[in-house]
Amino acid sequence: MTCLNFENRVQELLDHRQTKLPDELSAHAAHCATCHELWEHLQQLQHAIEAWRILSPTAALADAVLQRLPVECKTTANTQIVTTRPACSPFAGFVVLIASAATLLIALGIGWRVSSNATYANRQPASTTAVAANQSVTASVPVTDRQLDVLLHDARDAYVALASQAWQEVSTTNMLLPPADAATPFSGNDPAASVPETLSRPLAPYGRELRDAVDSWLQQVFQNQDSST
Amino acid sequence: MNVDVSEVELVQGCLAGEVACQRQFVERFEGMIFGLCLRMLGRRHDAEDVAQETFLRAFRNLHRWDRERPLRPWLLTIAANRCRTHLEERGRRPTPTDLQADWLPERHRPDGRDDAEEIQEALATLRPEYQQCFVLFYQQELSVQEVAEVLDCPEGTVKTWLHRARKEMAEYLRKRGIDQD
Repeated sequence: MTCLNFENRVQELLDHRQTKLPDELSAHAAHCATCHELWEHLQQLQHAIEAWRILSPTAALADAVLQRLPVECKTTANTQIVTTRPACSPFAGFVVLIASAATLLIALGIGWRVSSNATYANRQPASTTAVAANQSVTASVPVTDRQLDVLLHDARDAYVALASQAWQEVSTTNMLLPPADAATPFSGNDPAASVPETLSRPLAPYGRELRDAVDSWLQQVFQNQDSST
Repeated sequence: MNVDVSEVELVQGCLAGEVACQRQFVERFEGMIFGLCLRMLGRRHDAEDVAQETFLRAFRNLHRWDRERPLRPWLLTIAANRCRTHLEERGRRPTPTDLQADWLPERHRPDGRDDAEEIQEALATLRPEYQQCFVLFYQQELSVQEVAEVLDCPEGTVKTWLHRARKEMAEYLRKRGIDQD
C-alpha cells in the first residue's frame, strides 16, 4: 500500500464517519511515520470538531424576521407571502379590464362572422312571420340558433375567465375596489355561478362608471352589427 | 399555534399569509440556519443578519419549493449561498483578529483557546466552498450525498473539498499545537 492509497482510504473512512482504522491501514501506519502522523492529526481534528459541534448557539430570529416580512413583501412583486396589499401600477387593473373586454368583442365578432350567412331575421324565433314566410330560411333556423347559443355560451365562459383574472389583478392593485360590504365575485368552485346568464352587466364588480361605460360600448357594437345585417 | 404540523401544511400556512405559521416556520428551522451561518461566518452579528436574509428569501420563494423534496436541504442551500455571498462581500479572508468568536460562552474563552475556537479559526482560513462542505458535513451532519445536493455539485467534488478541508484544518491545528487530550 502506498501512502497515497493510505490517505485516500482514510479520507473515505472519515467520509462515512468511521474513526477506526482497518487492520490493513493500521499495519501501514505502524511502519510509515508520515502516514502515522497524518492519522494522528486527523484524529486530533475529529476530537476538536466534536467540541466545536456540540456548542449549539441559539438566536431568537422569529420576531426580527416577521417584522421585516411585511416590508419585504411590499417591495417584492412576486412574493406569495402577502401580508399587506402590494403596491403596483394603478393602471394595471384597468389595462387587464380593457383587454378582457376587447377579447370578448373579438370572440363575439368571430361568432358573427361564422354565422354571416344568416340574416338577423334568421336568428329570430321560427314563429315570427318574416322567417316563417321563407321556407328556405326557416330550414336553417335551428342550426343557426344552436350556433349562436354555443357562441354566446363560449363567449360568456371566456368572459368569466378573463373577468376572474381581471378581478384578481384589480384586487391586488388597490384599484376600483368595490365597497367593503360587497360580496367578492368569482369565488367558489364555479366562478360562472356568480355571473348572470345574460351579458347585460358583464363588468359589474369593477365600479359603476366603468361598468356603464363598457356596457354602453358593447351595446353600441351590438347595434352597429345589427344595423349592418 | 404549537401543533406540530407537517412541513407541507406549514408551508401552505405561510403561503396563505398566516403569521402563526410563519413564526413556527422560523422557530422550527432557526437553530439549524443560525448554526450554519454562525459556523461559516464566525461572527454572531453577521450570522443573525444572514440568517434573517435566509428566511426572508425563503418566504419569498416558498412557492417554488418542490413539495416532493424535504424542506431542510432546500433551506440549507439558501443559507449556504447567502453565507458564501456574504463572505465574498467581505472581500478578504478574515484574520484571527477579526474572529472574536463572540458567540462562544465565556467559559470557552479563557486565556488559552479551546478546541472549538481553534476549529472556528481554522475554518475561517478555508476557501468558502471548503467551509460550506465542512460545516454542512460536520455541523449539520449531512451525508456526502446530501451535501452534494445542497451545494448542487457532484459527490466527487464534495469529497475532494471535504478531504482538502480536513487536511488543511489538521495542518492548521498542528501548527497551533493542538493536542488530543
